Amino acid sequence: MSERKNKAVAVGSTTTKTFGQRVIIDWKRNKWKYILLIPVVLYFLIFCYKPMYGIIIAFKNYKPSRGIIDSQWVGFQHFRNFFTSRECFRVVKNTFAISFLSILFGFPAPILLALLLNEIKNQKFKRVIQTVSYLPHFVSVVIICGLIKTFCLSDGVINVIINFFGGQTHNLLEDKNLFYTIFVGTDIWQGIGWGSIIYLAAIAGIDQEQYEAARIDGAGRLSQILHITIPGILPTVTVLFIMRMGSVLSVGYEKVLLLYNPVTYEVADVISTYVYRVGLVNAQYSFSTAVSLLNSVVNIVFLTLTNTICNKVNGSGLF
Amino acid sequence: MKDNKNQAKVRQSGSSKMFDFCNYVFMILLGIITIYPFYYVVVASVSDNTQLQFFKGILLTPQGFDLGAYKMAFQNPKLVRGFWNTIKIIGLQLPVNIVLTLFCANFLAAKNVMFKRSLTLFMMFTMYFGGGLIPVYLNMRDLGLDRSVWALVLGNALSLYNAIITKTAIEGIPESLSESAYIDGAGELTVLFKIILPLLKPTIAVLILYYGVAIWNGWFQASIYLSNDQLPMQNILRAILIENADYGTSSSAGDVVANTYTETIKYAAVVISTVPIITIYPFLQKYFAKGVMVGAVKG
Amino acid sequence: MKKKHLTLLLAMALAISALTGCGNYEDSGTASALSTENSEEGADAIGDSNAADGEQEGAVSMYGDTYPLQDAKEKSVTYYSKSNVPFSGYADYTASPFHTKLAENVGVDIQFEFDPTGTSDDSNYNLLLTREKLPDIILHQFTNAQELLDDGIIIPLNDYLEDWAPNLYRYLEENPETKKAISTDDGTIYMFPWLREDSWLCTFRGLAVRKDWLEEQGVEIPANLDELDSIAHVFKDKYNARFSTVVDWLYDGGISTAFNTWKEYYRDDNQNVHFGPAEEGWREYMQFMNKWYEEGILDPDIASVDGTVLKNKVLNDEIGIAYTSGNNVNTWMASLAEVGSDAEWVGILNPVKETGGITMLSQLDQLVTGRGAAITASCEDIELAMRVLDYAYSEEGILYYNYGTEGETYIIENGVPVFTSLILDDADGISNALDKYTGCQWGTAGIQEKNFYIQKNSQLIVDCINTWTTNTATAEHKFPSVSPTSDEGLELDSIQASINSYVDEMFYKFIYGEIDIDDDGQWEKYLGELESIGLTKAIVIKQAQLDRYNAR
Repeated sequence: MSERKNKAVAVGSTTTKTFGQRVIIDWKRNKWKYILLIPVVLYFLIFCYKPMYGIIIAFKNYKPSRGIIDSQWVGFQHFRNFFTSRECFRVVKNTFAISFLSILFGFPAPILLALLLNEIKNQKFKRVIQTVSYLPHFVSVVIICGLIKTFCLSDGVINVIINFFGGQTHNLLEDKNLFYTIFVGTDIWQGIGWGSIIYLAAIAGIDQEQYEAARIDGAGRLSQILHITIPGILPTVTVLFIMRMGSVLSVGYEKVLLLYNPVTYEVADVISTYVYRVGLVNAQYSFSTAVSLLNSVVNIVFLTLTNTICNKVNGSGLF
Repeated sequence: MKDNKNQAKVRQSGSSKMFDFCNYVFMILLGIITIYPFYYVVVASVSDNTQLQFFKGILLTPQGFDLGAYKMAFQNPKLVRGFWNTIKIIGLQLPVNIVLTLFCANFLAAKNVMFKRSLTLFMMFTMYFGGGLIPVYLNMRDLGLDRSVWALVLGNALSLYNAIITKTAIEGIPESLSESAYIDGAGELTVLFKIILPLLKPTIAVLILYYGVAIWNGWFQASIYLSNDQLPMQNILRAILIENADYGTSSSAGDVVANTYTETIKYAAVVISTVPIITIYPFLQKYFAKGVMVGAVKG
Repeated sequence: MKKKHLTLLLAMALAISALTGCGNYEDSGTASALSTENSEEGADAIGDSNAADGEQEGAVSMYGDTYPLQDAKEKSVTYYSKSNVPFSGYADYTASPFHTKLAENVGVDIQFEFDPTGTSDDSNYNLLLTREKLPDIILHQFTNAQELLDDGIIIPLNDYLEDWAPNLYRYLEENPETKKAISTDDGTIYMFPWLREDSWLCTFRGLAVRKDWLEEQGVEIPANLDELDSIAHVFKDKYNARFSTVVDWLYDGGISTAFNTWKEYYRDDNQNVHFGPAEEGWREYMQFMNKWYEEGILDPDIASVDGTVLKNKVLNDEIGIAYTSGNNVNTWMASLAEVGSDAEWVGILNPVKETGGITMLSQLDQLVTGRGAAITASCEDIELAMRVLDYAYSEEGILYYNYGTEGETYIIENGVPVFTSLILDDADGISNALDKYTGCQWGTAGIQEKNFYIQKNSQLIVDCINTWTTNTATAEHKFPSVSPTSDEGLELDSIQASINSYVDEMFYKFIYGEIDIDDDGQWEKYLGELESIGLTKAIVIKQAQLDRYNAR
């Protein structure tokens, strides 16, 4: 409804137009935007929508040898299995916990880094630190976890320090209370540099003249950051935040699998690791597809919620 | 008046200097912490295999010196072929990625487009719902793309996440620029290519980095769509890692892994797969410098 | 599925028409089409096809019983194999001596197909199953053979075994237990299995201790659990060394042998199914481990130790007793020798309560693992495919698969094959050398000889295995490789995953003392929880599977 009004206002007419008329106006105005979009739309249709029928295996007992059509139909059995499993509540809770902590601490960290890096005047130093800071991103998670394990041993580095200060040593990866700290902390360690790249790019896009004007008006550096830089990257931050909330249930299994053990299952077992373990017993395409479907639905809910809130607060959202 | 301003300036540089000092210290600490994993990998890769196994604590210097792991990796005939395969895939896929991302972002960032909402939802839906491995594979096969590099290039033609980032960047460009162009009689394409694109340099640098790294690190799709001689380097490196995995856990008892580089070759593999990317970044860094927009408003 | 049947029949028709065979051969073609059709209907089919068999006797084989096969040089067979992957230094299998010589020996062109370099899971195999035309032969782990048979992906081989796979046929007749193990519940034989000559070959893990420390302290190698306990204290007091392992390995062995229990299902002497962690023996086991934890003998890092961490601890003299593989013991000793250490690791007997006692349950791999080569419905020349696979079970084939070529890779010394320096001194190591020239290291469609293992491994490893197989009676008590039905799979899988993680969690809670193992109330609670997850249901299903297996 409001779109029609907007159109009317834009074209400067006081009478509402028919659908056909609006299409023609739209085409005249935006012809090339649509034309250039054609390859994009084709990509989605051919490579994303065409295979989408595969979702149906969430409702079947799919066996590759049998094919999708001939696999046995089981309806909501997999969903039932998931919801009635002993682990269900726990893994959902843990997934949310890790995700929220990750967002709470892990989302602002690269932004802060980008802001601080931006204040470095020595270009050489800045470049070196930039390059160095994103290096951990490329070291495979297997090796990172190997390092973490070594550091967390009862006689590992961290415990040596703890001992020095008179504390009790124990294997840190067997400590339920430390799992989230270790997990999220190392996530930040590994991702802060790489994550800051996009914000640096956004900062680079801010009009320099704004800074000039502010300096002339006597604004200090902090003031410049607060009133120019941050507002300047706010659209980027908002969009990335919304998308991050849209993957709230997507805690990957690889790192958790490498770091958890039965002692920490209570807090560390997440949806993806649970599905992985079930799949080990018998290759369970269907079960993981069903759980994936559930995940997607929840993720979308969070996405739209966050988007709506940001729209109201900021005026800028994803859609 | 002047005195106040001077005083203000002095106060400013005082706290400003303090801030700078703290910032530099923080950056140095951060640098040390973040470089450690990579440093560890490099040091481990040139260590003597046996001595490395004995080492306890924080590894700071190589334990013995032995380039054997690298020699062994490079002797693998598939590795060099894999490298060129990766370059080929990047060469084909990267342009497709960038072009489609720009077209998509251009659409998403546009205002007053009638079908924008529906098309946006059409695209975003695919971020959350997909067919799964086997239907996607069957689809490729039906399209005749099995055993072809194009299965990867076209199959990954666009990342909506990257398109959204680009859209945000485009929205950051003041409308006044394009509006004045329209008034001067410029068409949509002229605005896109002559005004928007030049101002998107930092973002395009990010896209090159994001897409490039994703292609470089990818191995799974290559393993299902490509034949052995088309495999990119990452797959070969993975094979090396798997071959040297801890055999104590396998039931293929008695597999005496006589290869003398079981430990160090894993690290060498990581270094080999990472160094090329690290060397690319400095070339892109200049696009992250401030002031790309200078002169834009004046135009 | 109808489409698949049509395709099959067409393929059969084509195959038949392409042959210049005599009438009898045509009959066998019809019979095979019949038996495949009927395989869906289950047990009846075997009766029918046996009747057809009668007509078949005296059928003239196309290729003969000896190798190389007659008239097969122009033909080819497609073979997807999960095992026998060519040595990684070769561009592909055409450069691999084992594969090329194999084709030569058999007398037909074999076109191999392997998983892409660098993959370690089953994605490729699952995608393979979606093809219209499958390779003639598939070598894989067949956990769901019944489904594949029902869906017409692989074909039953019963009718053809005697005529076209005489070597395997003879072996199965001589080894009825093996025949039972590789059939489905209704007696269908569907694969050429991966076999090991002797169950000795199926043990590869056990306890090992620091012998040099024992000698230093003048203590004997422990012969029972109490003695093991006291040397554990000696190690702790004198050397500050502990007991450790990778806990993933503890599912079927370790200290638990002394309590006749393990983490899986097992059968008692009356063929009743039990679940180890729900039995009294498991409680005693946890009490013992809890004791070791409180006494500081248990490695406090044990929950997160992996192979690399374990090796590091061992090399740094932090471990006195380890539960590990012979291979690891060998590797540790090699590294220790390299730095000139006096440390000496040896394998010791499975812990038992009484000296000289036997444990009911210790580490033992299945003799028949379900790995093998099946013939697919896309195969047009079944006899040829079977002949190719049967080679591995013939006298010459067994020698070739295990040892390679006489004069090149092995020579006969005192009637026993011994590897030559071509293998033993290969620059890439023995394991890789064996991949280049032989094919029995693991998982092939063939029989691994005990002598092969002895030849290939160091004396230390052989000694370990000898020790670990001395005092055990696991073979009669291990739960065999059964054929689960599709419904059983659906019901059991998620229950089993939950049971497994609950057992794991409680294991640590008990041995770390978080929950008191001596408290009867807690033990009852634990059993009750297992109940509510669905243990009884699981045992019922397992029992049914076992009964069907025994009835084969």
